[in-house]
Amino acid sequence: MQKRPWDISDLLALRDGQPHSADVQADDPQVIEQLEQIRGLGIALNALPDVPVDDDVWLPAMPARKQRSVWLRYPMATAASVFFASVVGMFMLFGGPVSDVGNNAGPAQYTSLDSIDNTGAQLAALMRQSRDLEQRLYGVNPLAQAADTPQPTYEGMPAPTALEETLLFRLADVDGQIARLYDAAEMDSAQRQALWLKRVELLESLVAIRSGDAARLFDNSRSM
Amino acid sequence: MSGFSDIQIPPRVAKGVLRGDRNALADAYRLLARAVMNLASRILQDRGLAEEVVQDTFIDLVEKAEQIKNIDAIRPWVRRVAVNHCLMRLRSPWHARRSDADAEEIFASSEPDNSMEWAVQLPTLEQALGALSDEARTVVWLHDVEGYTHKEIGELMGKTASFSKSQLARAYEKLLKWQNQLNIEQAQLQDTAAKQETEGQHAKATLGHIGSPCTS
Repeated sequence: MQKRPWDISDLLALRDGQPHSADVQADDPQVIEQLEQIRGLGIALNALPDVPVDDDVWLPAMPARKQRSVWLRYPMATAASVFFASVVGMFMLFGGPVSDVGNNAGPAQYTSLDSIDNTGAQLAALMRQSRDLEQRLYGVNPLAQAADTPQPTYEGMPAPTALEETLLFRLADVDGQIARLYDAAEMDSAQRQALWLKRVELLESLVAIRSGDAARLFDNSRSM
Repeated sequence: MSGFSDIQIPPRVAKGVLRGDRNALADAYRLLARAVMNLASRILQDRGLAEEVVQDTFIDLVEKAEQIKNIDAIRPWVRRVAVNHCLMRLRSPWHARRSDADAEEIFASSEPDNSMEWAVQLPTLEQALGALSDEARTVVWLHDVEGYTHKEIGELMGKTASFSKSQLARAYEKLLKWQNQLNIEQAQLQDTAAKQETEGQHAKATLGHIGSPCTS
């Protein structure tokens, strides 16, 4: 069989009104047939059914927007007051400044889940925790990423240890189980919540391991 | 299916979003969440992760709405944030552990004469889409459904416009091959079913003839 003088990329360019190879003749029956198939696939992709969204999960837990503090409106005055208060405070308490290096590696403070009655809101809180922990783990700032830069960077992510590998595999397993929940005819909400809780716990363990490493590095540098 | 292009945000809601009004944000969620979910589900092929993307996207909207310059920019801003959240998850280390390499193998291993292979494994377009590589699937969705240009896709993915073009061509090559093979298999199935029906009718007729009472 004779080889066609064009390929799929030429047909796609023709479909999209882009420059294409001169060998593609729009009235060639083979081109017409293939182009129809390509257009059909494009239409079918656009006609795929909606994926349902669970409004109960997010809406009740919608966070309130952080208001710009009055202090931020007057930065110089704020800086002066903070400086004054910290100097006075440190000298009153300790007689000098105290370093808190190494104390900031602990887990971030989250809203207690017990204080949230709504099941959907609890799930949303777990999902936020999961997101925050992932960001802590990989040093990614999705907001900066979303707004400015096209590609995220996983800053300073060292190769995982054997223990971390195990936790990562368990995490992958939990992710797989969460994904499978959606394939079931009816969503098992309790199971979904339990799996997200497990995910958060695994991520907390990973963060703790990484933080432990950071603390050890700090200890080593002090003993040197 | 709800895509971003079908959505109109009423000016009252849009202005409220920029002000950070809670009710307007809830309305924006009701308007846009489905489109975000569709995009995330199709790119990530994982409903749990897609739900996470929906949540993260709207948290960003609540916290960063002041970055949006005007009311017409809300919809593209939300879409871009959602795409970035999807891309971040595709690049995450444990997503790689659940790589879809095995799904890609279905395309690679299926010979045209390997009948029933695809009809059984990838009976729908949704599943065929899921069996593409992460990059190819993302490009197909962003280009053909969301209407991004190759240049924009290249920028979003940290690659070039040519990369996007070649991924789209690769994806379509596979999808066309899948569709042709599926058509052949379905025709074979129909043939077999028709044959079985004819044989069944023939057998029934024969049995009926044997079982009929003798009148002589």
